[in-house]
Amino acid sequence: MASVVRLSRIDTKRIHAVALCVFLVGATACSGELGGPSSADPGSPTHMGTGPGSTLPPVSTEIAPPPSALPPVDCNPQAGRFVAPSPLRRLTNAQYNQSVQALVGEMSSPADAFPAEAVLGGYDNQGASQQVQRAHVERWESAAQTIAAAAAPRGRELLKCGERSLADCVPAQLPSFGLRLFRRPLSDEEQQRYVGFYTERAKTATPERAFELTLTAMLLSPHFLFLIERGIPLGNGLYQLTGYEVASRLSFALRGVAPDEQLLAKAGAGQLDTAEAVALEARSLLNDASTGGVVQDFVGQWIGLRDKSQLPPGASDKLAESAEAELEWFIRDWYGTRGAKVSDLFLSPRAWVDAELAESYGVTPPSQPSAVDLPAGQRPGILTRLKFLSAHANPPARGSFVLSRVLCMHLPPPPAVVPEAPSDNPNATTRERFDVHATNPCATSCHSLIDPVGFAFEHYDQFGLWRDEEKGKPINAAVELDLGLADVDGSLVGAQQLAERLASSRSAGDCLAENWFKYSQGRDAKPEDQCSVKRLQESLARTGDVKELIVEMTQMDAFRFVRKEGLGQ
Amino acid sequence: MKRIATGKPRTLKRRTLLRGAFGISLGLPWLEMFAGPAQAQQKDPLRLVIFIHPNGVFTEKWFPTITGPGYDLKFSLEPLAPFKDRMIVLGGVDGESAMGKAGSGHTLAGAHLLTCADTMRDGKFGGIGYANSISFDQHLAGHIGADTPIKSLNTGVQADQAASDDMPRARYSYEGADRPIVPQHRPQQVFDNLSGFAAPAGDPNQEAERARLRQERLSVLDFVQDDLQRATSALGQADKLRLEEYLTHMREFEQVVANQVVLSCDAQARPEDLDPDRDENLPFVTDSMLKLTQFAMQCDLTRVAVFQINGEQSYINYGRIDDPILDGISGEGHHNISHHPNDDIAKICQLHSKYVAEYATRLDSVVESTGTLLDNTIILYTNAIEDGQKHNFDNLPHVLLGGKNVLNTGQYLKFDGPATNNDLFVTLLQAFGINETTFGEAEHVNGVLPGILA
Repeated sequence: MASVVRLSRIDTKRIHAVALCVFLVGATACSGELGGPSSADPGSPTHMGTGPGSTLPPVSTEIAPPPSALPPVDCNPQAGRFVAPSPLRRLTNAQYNQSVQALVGEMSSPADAFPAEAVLGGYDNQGASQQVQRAHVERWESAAQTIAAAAAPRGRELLKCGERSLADCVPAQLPSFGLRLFRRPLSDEEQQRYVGFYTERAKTATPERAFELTLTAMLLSPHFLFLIERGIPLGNGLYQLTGYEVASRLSFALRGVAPDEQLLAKAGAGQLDTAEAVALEARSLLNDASTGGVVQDFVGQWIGLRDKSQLPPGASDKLAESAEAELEWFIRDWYGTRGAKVSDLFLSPRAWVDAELAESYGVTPPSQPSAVDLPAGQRPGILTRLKFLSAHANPPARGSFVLSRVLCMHLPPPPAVVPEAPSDNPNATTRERFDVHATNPCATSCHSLIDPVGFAFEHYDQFGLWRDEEKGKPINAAVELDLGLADVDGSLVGAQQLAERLASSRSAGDCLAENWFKYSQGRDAKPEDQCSVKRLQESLARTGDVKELIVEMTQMDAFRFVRKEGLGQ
Repeated sequence: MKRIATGKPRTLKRRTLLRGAFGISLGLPWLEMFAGPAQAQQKDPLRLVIFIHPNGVFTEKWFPTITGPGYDLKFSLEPLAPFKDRMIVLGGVDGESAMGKAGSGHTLAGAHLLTCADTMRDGKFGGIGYANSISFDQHLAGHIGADTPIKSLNTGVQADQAASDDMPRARYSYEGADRPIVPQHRPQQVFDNLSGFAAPAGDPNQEAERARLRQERLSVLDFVQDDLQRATSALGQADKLRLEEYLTHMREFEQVVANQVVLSCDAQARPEDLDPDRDENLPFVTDSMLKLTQFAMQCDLTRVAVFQINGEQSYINYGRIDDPILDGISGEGHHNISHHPNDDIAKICQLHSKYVAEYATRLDSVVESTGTLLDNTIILYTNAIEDGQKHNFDNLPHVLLGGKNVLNTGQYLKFDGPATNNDLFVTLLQAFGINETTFGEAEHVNGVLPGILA
């Protein structure tokens, strides 16, 4: 989608020219990531050719699919529902933990033993990357056994048996327990099968053991592990989600957990069948504290909270932990206390500072960790925090992050065989070393977009510490941006002005809305989703408020409707 | 852990044959291997262990200067000196299948190393770049793993780390196109899994109890498969495939459970519960995993294993690891250091070589019918790129160790002509008595590499 919205407003030819040896955020192998100033290797060549014995493989210079795959459509609801097919999603490890906890009570995060989630486009919850591998089956089974064994002794309580014995109540109560597990009522056939399985097991095992085995089977069922959406057919491959399916989407998107009994009851009573009712419910869920957790996770993944940081030599683990905790606190403060404004994300000076961080941020060390305002002009918003800067330790890494994650400009992957390091002159400043990009043949085509944005962060060293000079020379953070984005381009000096530019731009807000689509829907927006994305972007442009963005999400076609391919009507 | 590397033949209790879930009595082809040299005429099985370390080597402190039997060991390979006559240092073998393909260095490196094929990306940017073909370890396991309870044992240090975008990172082993194997990274989990196969034989009542539990477990797995088949009806084509993935793995898993048997291998102590994701625990995880791998081989639970240190672009900070080899090393992450291959990289490689040497020493202390466990094991110690700065795929730093009866050990074997990973794996297939002439992308196959086989 980025391509649809973004590229329609920028000069695509420029980007194509630039795409040659660009550096990809976080991952990479491009020259920019090569050593910091400490890794001097005097005498090595500074040209950006290919390594000896290798040939430069062809690198795609295309940026995503062509933007004009679909002509702009009429987004008036009367004109029809536009939504792209969405891949099957399964519970993320975090959602699994939360849901099991809600269902059977205290469990020690069984999904932590599952394989780590694959990360696609920066997010760990994308349906397209949720493959089922051998290890998943092994570990799902092991977790299901553990959970069921812990839950079975409380079977009567879980099933709400009242005075009845377990043997008496399972056949009657299993269906309503199944409603919680599968997030929808069991069909008659399913009721018979599950009760039948229990009865069969109970012939040779105790009722408790038979219930344990039944619960194990249900926890391994695709109806628990996956978000299977049957929908109500509207014709032409379009389906409206049932009330229960809407309840699941709402609950996972806003609270990160399976819907509770109240929400399921509303679904069952038809109270989630209209857009207005869903909006109402979304507003009420937003007041729930756990919504903060989802937004926290979203913004955290967007900013790369889990990316590895570089720490100053000799720094303690404590500093890394403090820096990460501070960024988490920042997001919480921004969302929970300061009103979740997009502009504030880029500008808020608030920080949660302990003694070690205080030193890094150049503020008076507090006796107790506490909230402070960081020095004016030095640390505006989320892009100037130690965690972010040390995880994106040099100008190309910082520049490409802003371009790809904050402005949604799509960059192709870096080349397979990496050019030599920019410059290893030990007397050169960071900017001088990376300015080599501007004087070699690769430069005009590779780093001319990325590096200027990165140079705006020159006041922060590779660890994120503030500096006014480097190697005896004053810092030069003045840059001229020419990205083809009218609301961002122009000259500016330093991260403060860059943050102000981003905070007031429609481009950054549009991009955040796209990211929210991706995170909340577990998939990329496609050209067919353009009305949904536009709706999100316009809401954010109008209100500047991420909470409104979340409510608006429930109103877009892509939230309540699905398209299925290869299934006839 | 109880020492299993005693060097003495041990007498094991004859284990009880258990009935499989489907009433089929399971054969135990490995029984004889515990009988000790005195009475055994049975040929020991040949095993394969692949030890992968990431981010390339410092070439001038890795590759010998002198070729042939009188070769010299450079700094990074020094710990392997006791095995100089029992190994082959390879030079000039290229990961040719990765050359000229679209993608970044580490992406291609990880996916191509053991598959000699391409990634699934098909030139497009946007999916996880898993390999599009089966890896050598799994291919070999298809031939020699059928008789053992576990087809292969895949473990590693921090090897669970997530794949990301076009970067498979820690995924080297593939059951097939787009089917990566997630290596196990918690020693306790590996131990628990293996214990499922190697529970000590107890009294008959206990064994009857175990059989009953397994029967119940299988009934659950069977029921879930039924669920999976029914669930696909409302799904579009792509989503059906996802549930079929689950179903396929579930079927295979059911077979594994059904075929479980009880062995009476020496009980192992459960490894400590140290956080396997902390860099300073790398030595602990390595030691635990390699001991468990040895245990699995010794008891013939499996004949194929892959052990890996992290994955492509490992960021492990070796400054946090307590080992004299690493004295004075930079506190930066491995990947950062690897972009300027130097003495720090040479030290990291020496540490990895030390682990290989310790492992080989232990294998060598286990006496089997025909030689030691090391004699009956081929260890491939390898890296997916040659040099961490260039990310180049030519002249990969492979070392072969062990395999006394099948390898022509004691030499630095440097190929000047065409020699590819494909060829290396074709050669190893021959060593295992499998007469196949191709592996991976066919255009990179030249044939058996001369000089490796005994």
